[in-house]
Amino acid sequence: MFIKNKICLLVLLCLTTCKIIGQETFPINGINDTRSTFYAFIHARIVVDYQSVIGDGTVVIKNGAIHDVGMNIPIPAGSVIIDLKGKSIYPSFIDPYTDYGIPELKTKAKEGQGQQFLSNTKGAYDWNQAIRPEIDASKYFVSDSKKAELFRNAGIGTVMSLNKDGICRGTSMVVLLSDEKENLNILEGKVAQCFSFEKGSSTQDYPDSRMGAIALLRQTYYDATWYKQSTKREYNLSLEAFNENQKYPSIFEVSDWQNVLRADKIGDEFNIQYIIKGSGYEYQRIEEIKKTGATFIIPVNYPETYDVSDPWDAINVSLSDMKHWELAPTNASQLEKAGIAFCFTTDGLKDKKDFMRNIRKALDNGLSEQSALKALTYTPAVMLNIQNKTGSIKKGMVANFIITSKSIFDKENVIFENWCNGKRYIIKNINAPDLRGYYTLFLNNKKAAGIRVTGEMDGPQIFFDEDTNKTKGNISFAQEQLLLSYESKNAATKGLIKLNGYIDQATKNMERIRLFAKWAMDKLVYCIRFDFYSHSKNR
Amino acid sequence: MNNKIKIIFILLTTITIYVAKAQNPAPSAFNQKSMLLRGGIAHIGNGTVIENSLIGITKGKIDFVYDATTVKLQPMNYDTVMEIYGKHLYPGLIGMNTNLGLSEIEAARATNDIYETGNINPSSRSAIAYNTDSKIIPTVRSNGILIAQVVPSGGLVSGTSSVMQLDAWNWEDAVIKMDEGLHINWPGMRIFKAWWAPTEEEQKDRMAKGLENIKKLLRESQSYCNEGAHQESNLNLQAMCGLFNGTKKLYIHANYVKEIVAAVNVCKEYKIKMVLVGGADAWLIPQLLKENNIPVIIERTQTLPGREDDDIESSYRLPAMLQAAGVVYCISDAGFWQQRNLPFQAGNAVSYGITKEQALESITLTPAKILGIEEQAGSLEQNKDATLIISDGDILDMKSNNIIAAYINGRKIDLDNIQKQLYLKYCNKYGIKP
Amino acid sequence: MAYGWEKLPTQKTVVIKNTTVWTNESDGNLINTDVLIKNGKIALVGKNINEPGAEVIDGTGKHLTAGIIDEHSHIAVSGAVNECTQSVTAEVRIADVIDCEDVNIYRQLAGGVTSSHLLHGSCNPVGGQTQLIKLRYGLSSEELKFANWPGFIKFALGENVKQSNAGDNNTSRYPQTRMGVEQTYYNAFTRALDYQKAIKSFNALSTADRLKAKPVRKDLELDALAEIINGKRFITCHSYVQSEINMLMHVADSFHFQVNTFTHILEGYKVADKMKAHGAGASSFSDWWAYKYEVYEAIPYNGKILHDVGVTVAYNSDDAEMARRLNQEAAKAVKYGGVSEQEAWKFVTLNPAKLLHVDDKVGSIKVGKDADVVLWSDNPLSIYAKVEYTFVDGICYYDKETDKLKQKAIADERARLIQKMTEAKNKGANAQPPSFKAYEEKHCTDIEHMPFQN
Repeated sequence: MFIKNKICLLVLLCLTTCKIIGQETFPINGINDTRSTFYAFIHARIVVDYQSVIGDGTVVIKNGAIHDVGMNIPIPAGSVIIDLKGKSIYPSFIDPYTDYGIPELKTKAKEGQGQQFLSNTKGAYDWNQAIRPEIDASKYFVSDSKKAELFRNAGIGTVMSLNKDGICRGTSMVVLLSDEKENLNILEGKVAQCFSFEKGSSTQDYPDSRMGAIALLRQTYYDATWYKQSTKREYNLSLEAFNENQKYPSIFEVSDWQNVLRADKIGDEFNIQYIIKGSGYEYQRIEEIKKTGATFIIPVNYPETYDVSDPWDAINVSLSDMKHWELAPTNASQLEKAGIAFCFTTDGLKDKKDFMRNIRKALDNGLSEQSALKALTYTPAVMLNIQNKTGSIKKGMVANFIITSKSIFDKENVIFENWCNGKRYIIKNINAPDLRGYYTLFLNNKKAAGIRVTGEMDGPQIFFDEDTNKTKGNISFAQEQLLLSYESKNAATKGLIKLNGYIDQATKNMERIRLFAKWAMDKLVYCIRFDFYSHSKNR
Repeated sequence: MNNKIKIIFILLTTITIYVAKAQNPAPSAFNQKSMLLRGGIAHIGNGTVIENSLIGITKGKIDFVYDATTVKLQPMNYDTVMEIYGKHLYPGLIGMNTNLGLSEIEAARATNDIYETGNINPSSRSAIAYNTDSKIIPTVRSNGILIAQVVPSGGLVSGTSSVMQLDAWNWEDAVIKMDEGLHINWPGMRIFKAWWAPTEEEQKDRMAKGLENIKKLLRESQSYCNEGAHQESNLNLQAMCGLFNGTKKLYIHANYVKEIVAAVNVCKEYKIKMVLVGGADAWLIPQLLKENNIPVIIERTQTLPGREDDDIESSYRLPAMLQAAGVVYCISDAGFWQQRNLPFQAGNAVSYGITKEQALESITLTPAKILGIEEQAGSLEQNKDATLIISDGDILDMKSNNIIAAYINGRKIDLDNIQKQLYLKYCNKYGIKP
Repeated sequence: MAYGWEKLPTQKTVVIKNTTVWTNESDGNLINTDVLIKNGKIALVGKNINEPGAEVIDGTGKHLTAGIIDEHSHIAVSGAVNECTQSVTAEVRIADVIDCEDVNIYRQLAGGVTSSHLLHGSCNPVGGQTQLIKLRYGLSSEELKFANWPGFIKFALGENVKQSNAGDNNTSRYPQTRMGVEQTYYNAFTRALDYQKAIKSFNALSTADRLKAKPVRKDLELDALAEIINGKRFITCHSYVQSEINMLMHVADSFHFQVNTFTHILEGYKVADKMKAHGAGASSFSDWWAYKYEVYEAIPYNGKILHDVGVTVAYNSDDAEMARRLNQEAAKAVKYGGVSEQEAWKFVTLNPAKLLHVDDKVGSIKVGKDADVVLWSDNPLSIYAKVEYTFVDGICYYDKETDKLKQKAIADERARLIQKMTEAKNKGANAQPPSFKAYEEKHCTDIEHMPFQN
């Protein structure tokens, strides 16, 4: 008995692991360049999942998977070691509602201007063009490196992708955001069946109202049941797929809180608990929202403030819109308070940079950090049934994590790297020197100016202080080279001064930076020396 | 008893014996005879009421309006004397801003002469399209509306309106004042959200162009009108000239406060006599309207608040707010067949802060003043046209409104209409008492 | 939600003292009378009622009536009132799309309305299933539904269903003539009968045989039509000219059911005797006409004639604005044709309750009925009458004083938020241009991209 269990466990473990690092089926042109290097991240603060943290631990990864994780674990010989002292590792986030990597799958448009009573979709499909359960998102998936980067920069490593078109939208998949082949990025080909009240690109007349969409959906459920009941004359690819898809969870996208209840009511009729892709308005009737028992995927696209500087313009903004502006950032915390399971999505955001920014606003409005992290990792993983593959940092799981400078909820946090599917994606150079501090600039061994570098670590500002003149200059660090420039007003050095230099990597001596300049007269070389240096001073 | 005819005016029923005619009644002929109305409660139209009045009418004009209790006066040489004790007398109501006579059936395109194609149509004139044989007109008339400002609609400049009386053989007969005003639909000046709304950018673009279009039209027409002789004639610009020489008014249809402010300012620049039509937001800027002597034609009191957060009674209160602020206003009703409810549009404001007589003024004397016909119409005063109505009760309340007689220029109007004819036809069929 | 509640109003025990009570019952109008409202019901009507702990409202000089019931309304519906795309859409349900946040619910409470029959539009011969609601403003859509109500469906005839005014792109849906409209009905009801037969014979099979047989496809559209034939669902039919009214009654006779209500029914006066014989009711406009060809012979005396012939007559709004003053529309029955005041008042209260099969619960002031009552400042038929209190289920959802407080709260809250937004903008937050939420008036024929009237 005991042994049997153990074996089961082993098999399971093997299955999951195998799937992740399974061999590729592709032939190789040239010399095999598969690199099974071990990477060991040491001295990191490891946030294993939303409820456990290792203060100073090590993560070892290999072949896209987490090989080991823990406090005092052996580091395999030959590992590339990355010292993350003072840095944190988090599981990368899961965005459970995107159309990443899916081309527009519009239905066939109608010709001419008249009415269209039946579907334009060719083949043995549903009578209605907006019922498309046969759409299998994974069949259309093509990685998109530009879009993947935007997600990764926001800390996201895994997304659910669906065809956002139609009332019944077919099945969605879960993909990783690495630049591996599609074959290796698809984590699950089918995870959920997706729905909405909007008929999307369908040009068929019916339905032309929300009540029509609801009636259509209801009839489709009945038709599908009837279809599988017995001998049939009709072969219907859509109903076949619809029935097949019932084994996956169903996700329903809605546009306001009233539509949440409408969707849930349909679910009740057919014994289906929909997961709701919400609207951000759930807080308005939290008690009724809770009664649905649904898990929510919520956007954080809070409305911008209104420009109310003109009183005659201001009268046009309704109080309800103004209130929503004020209360939208409380949505998540109200869901938390009510004990409703939820996850976050970037859906609806114009700029994915706002994702964490807006989640932090939710924290400012009462959401706990633990719930926020849970909503970014654990809840979506469980919802999509991929909790054994991603969403936490555990042995055997996909090497999906981010390296950060601080807590992800800290306003000053920097995401340095997003490791996705075991691949490293640098967002901010982890080795970029923190140049902030005070310096003295010597030109021809003469003190030319005091320098103050301040502001953000990865985008600092520089000020040159020449006697009485204070001048803002430019500073940048790229390709291992430091560039400074400023407009000098001193009689001796008057003009634009441009300096190029480097930090000596051999000594890592940040206190001495060599700079070369082409200024005034050619061939002159100058250097500066640090007066003193401090990481913490005067940001 | 003198040998003049004396009629005891009982309910001179307008419901005559049923004859299948389905025809509009013939306009009545000029009345050479004189008539004395005795005992009626006269609502003068200027705010005063004479509980027991004595009104003399000769050749279509009012000779005098007396208080019978203070003036002892024998009826002198009146062909007819009508005793109308307890009945209410009112000036004929004036329907402002209506498409009456320009449409017979809203949804039947062939019957519509309201919207000319194109955006700028100052030269189109409503008077010549006014259909005196419209079956609608008698139904409006029998509710006391005897004069109408007939207005074209649509586009930026809809066209030119005229004032008509509602009992005529043809439009020439009907005209009281030809081509009295131009109508502009002020371009929207706020961005709106709705499923049918154009994009924000498109809306901004449209707003900018809309205002410029109006300014351009005014600028160029003014310069055209200042030219001595025209090398190239332009009928549309020609039609604008009345605005600059003060013979025409400019009716600007606008509701939103920014639109109103902009319109007032543009009219000031060109020294144009402006009348504001709609003016839902007029209460926000009463001072501006008062200072510039801009009257307001309130489109309807029976309408929904424009904004979600507005006082739910805002449209009912608008007349009172303008009254209190000293802004000149009148009340209208939209459309054409809807004119039958004009008295109720005014009546509805009474419980919300104006008096009954003020409400009456807003559909009689004030419209007459706005139209510039106050010398002849709009109130029961000496030397004015005998254009008046007699009702069983208060006409502002549907419960008591029952017009029993109407006169235009002293001519007694047949109050029959197609609806009454059908009513009698079917009462007859079922044997029920009308 | 505009004009929302800080805290939902609750049921109270209230005595309205010394007022004129329009009972709509055999008692007629009672003067100097008290009415006790308790547990959401009308508990007592009489003189000198003293109920300990009850809130007292002085009704001196005022008038208490049953709440107005609007037989034809399109408020509080989200996502279009029409499913125009097929000539028969019996499967769609207004019940699925009630919008409990429509501010018009509140505005109509202020006009004395307590129940509204939310109808599907009129662009197809068989439209969707309708929903009767009580105007319990602030509660959720499910909670607005009128309990234990049998269920109705919207039908429509004439120009709208044959797409006469629907533009050049909409000329191909069957039917395009009144002839086709009739056949659409025969076809629909015949299919429903066949469907019912098929279900019956399937259910009659033995368990073993059932397994071998093909089950009948459940068809929501035919289910609804079968309910009509079986007298379980009632029709309210948009109708104008006499020929089509006559026709539908014949269709109903053929399938042995009754047309419950003809709504609009502007030529009802021409077939009043036939309607009376069939047992159909009329829910009309008071004085509308000339907006389309089929209403060119509409007359404001319609209500009077139908009433005198013995048909149950209601006046409805079909319009969010008119619904705020249905009391005035009732008064037009007095003006046009001289219907008595008490009978005219029933046109907007008891008669629509009868037409909607809820006259055992609402529509008159009678002990035991729901306390859906309105206190008016004046004779409710007068244009000068204003609503002072509106109760639904004994809960005061509108009164003048609370309305003033709400207005004040809205103004204060707006001021606070405008201040806050200004600060946010000054701190550098992105600001969007203010935009005006245009209100979409909903009428019978509205379909997307085509908002026009009735």
